[in-house]
Amino acid sequence: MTTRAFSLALIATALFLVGCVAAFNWVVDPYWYFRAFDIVGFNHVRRHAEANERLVKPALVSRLRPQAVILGNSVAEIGLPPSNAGFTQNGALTSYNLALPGGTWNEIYCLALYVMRSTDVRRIVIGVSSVHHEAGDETCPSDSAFRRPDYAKLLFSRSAFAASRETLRDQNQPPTMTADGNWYFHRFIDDPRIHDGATWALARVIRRDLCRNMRFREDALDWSLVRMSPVPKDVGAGLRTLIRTAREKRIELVLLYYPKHVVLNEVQRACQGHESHWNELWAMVSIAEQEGDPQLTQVWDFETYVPTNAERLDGRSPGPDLLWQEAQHFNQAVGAAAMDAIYRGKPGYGDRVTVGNFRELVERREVERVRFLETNPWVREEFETFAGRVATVAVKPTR
Amino acid sequence: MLFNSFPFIFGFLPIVLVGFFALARVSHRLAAGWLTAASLAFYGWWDPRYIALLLASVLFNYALGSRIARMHEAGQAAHGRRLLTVAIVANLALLGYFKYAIFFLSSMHKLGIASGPLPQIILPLGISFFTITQIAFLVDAHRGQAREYNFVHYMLFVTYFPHLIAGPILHHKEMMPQFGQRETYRLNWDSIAVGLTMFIFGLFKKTVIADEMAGFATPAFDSAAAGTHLSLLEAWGAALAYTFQIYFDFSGYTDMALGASRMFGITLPLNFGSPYKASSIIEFWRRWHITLSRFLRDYVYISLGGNRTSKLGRYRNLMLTMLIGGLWHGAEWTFVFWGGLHGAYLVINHGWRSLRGRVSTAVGRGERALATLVTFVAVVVAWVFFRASDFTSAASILNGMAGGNGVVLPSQWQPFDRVNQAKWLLILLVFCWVAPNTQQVLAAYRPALLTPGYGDLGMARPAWRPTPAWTAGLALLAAVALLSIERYSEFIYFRF
Repeated sequence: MTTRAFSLALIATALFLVGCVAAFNWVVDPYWYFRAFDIVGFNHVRRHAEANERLVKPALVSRLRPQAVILGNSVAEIGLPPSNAGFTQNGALTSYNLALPGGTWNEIYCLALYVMRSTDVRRIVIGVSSVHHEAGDETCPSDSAFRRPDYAKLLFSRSAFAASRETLRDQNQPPTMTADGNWYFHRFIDDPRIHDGATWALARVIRRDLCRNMRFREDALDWSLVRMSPVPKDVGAGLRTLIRTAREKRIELVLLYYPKHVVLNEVQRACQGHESHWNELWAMVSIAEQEGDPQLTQVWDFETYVPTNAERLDGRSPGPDLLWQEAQHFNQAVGAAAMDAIYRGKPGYGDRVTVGNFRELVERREVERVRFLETNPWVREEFETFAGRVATVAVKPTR
Repeated sequence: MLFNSFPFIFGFLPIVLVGFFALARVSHRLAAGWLTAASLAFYGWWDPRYIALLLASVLFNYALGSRIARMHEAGQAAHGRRLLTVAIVANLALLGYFKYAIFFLSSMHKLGIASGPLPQIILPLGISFFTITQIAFLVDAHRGQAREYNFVHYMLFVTYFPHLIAGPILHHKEMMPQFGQRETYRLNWDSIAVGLTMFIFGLFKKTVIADEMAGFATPAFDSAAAGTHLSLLEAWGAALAYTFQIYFDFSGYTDMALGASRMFGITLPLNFGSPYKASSIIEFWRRWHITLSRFLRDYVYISLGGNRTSKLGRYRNLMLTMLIGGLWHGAEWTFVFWGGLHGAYLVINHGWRSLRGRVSTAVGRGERALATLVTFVAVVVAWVFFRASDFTSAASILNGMAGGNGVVLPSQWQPFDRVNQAKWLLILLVFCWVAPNTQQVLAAYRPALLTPGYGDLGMARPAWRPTPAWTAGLALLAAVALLSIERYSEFIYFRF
């Protein structure tokens, strides 16, 4: 063999092999980007999609151009179904769940602006859990960076090849994601240890981010600590930009305060005080009123003391009717109830919050809380168990 | 631009290669100019602003080097020496500003001698390499060893993209003749085949092995830096993972640099020769980063007096040379300490040789194996300082390696874990000690320029031949390596 033949054959063979792998990855499409084939028993279940959402979801939105989009972190991704009839106006709007696990406010902010600029979106729900809305657009990647998928990773990579092989093998496994971007989390895993592990993980987060030793709060809300004066104009730049952009483009924007489990609500109250949630909510409501159009911009709160938010966490084996994964993540039944309340006006769960009804809402909710805790002593028991975990869980130091 | 990136492999390299040989049919000077322009574009890919700095450095050194050489030819040695001093000081000042200013200022801050905010200085890529390459040229010019002064060839000598960012460090006299040869400008399929083979070996080492090892080493070192106390196996796992990461990273880079260059018909000097097979630290430095060792010997150690002094003076020179070598690698005290540690190893090694030489000279296989093991462990311990972000985390890892934090089986070592670090480490250890290196496999085709006394370059099996079996095997390696380019992963030596 001459060195010329060797060189040409080597290059051709290597490129052929890489091309075969790319073609295989394109057909199997383990990250659910190309969507050329969806064959039951072949690639319908794509368990690798969940770990690669940042790689795929933003670029996919550019291509699918949904008209109704959900944004947020894992709570929104697991719990808010984009296919909800109210949200899609009975299927008239195409929809997608663009929430990302561990999504920070800055990520959500950048994606929301990108979606508003680059798609035909008419309706957006942003799931929020705390108010850190200072993000400005100087920290966002360019639209083209969001739009351009990383073909090297999607097609020409060993990890995509491994994911494709495992996708073929995993077809008899339960799904982990839906085509419209929902993540199932642990929902179909009937292993109590998994749920217990998730609870420990939450305890670790609480200890790291909130507090180590907590006591159940039996005192009442101190009204002097609840701020109800208009938020200064120089606060919340990022949130203001989002609301203004939505208003200018005539996009319906719902800022959805996530449903929170009553036990976690008590944990937050124990760590941060009764008024913490109300002050956060007030800031958002105040900014929304200053910057938004009441017809287009709404703030909804679902941190209520009702049975939907009070499924017992300990001592029950999970089943298909499970409402909550653990105290932080709710399932789609809860999310659907929230969407029905917002878009179909179904009463009984959550409230639209405005500057006008804020004080009445706080008063009502505080009374509801006291009554609920009186009739549900298990909440305190579970709180104590969880507090014990938080006090003892090991936390690795961070840099 | 990284060698291990799609833009380089599928864009830059083939375009420059085709352009070079197409232009060479018209004019060799044009082809050399094309290669120089491509090299500047390669450099500018990182940050185009620094092309000006590189060009200024090249023009300055070319002008002074030519003048120094003319002075040498005219017998004006004293004048030449003064100009050489000026030129070297200017080069060191440039390097000092970009690489060491913040280091010295922050050290002074720590000592309480200075205060105030530190300046923001970006370290230009490859500055350590192109600076010392040119210092060597200036000294060679003064010694009358640099003979050709074609400006385009000089530009190419300094900026030639396969060596520009991380070496090998070139000698003027070994490159300039190649740029002048007619054969260099003629497409040679032997060189293409050899170059491709080396490039694929290197790409595989980098993307498949070194990056995999980084996945083990980085979290462990970061964790130690964050205050976690690593157990015995975790600490050894971290140190060994880094030992193999840097080995395959640098070996991979060197193979790719030599391979890319060989495709253009230009052979670069040997830079890496199975260093973990060394049975002494002296031998280690004749196998690891050979062109740097050569530079340190010829331009630092010998300039300090080398062996032409007392035994104590020689050891002092060794220590100083290695401390400078450590500082050259990075502006951190941990690098200086690493250099000093290797200096101490070398002093002990020379002392041992001198002592042993008086007793016996015969070395058995068992003794050689033991010496190889001891050398390897010494090198691993030194790498901990090289990699650790500070002395505290280095001490923490060494404490773990000594068993100070107990013995716990780390999760990565559990038998049912998919990523079995222990298995990887064992395979790589055997590979480094037993397998032939790229130069040995390709020895029949003279893949690298040799420096007498450096490397280990006997022929070895399996010897490379252009056969269908080698084609299939290399194509598979190439495919796996290409598919492993998943993230931006710099070579470790790019930071120096």
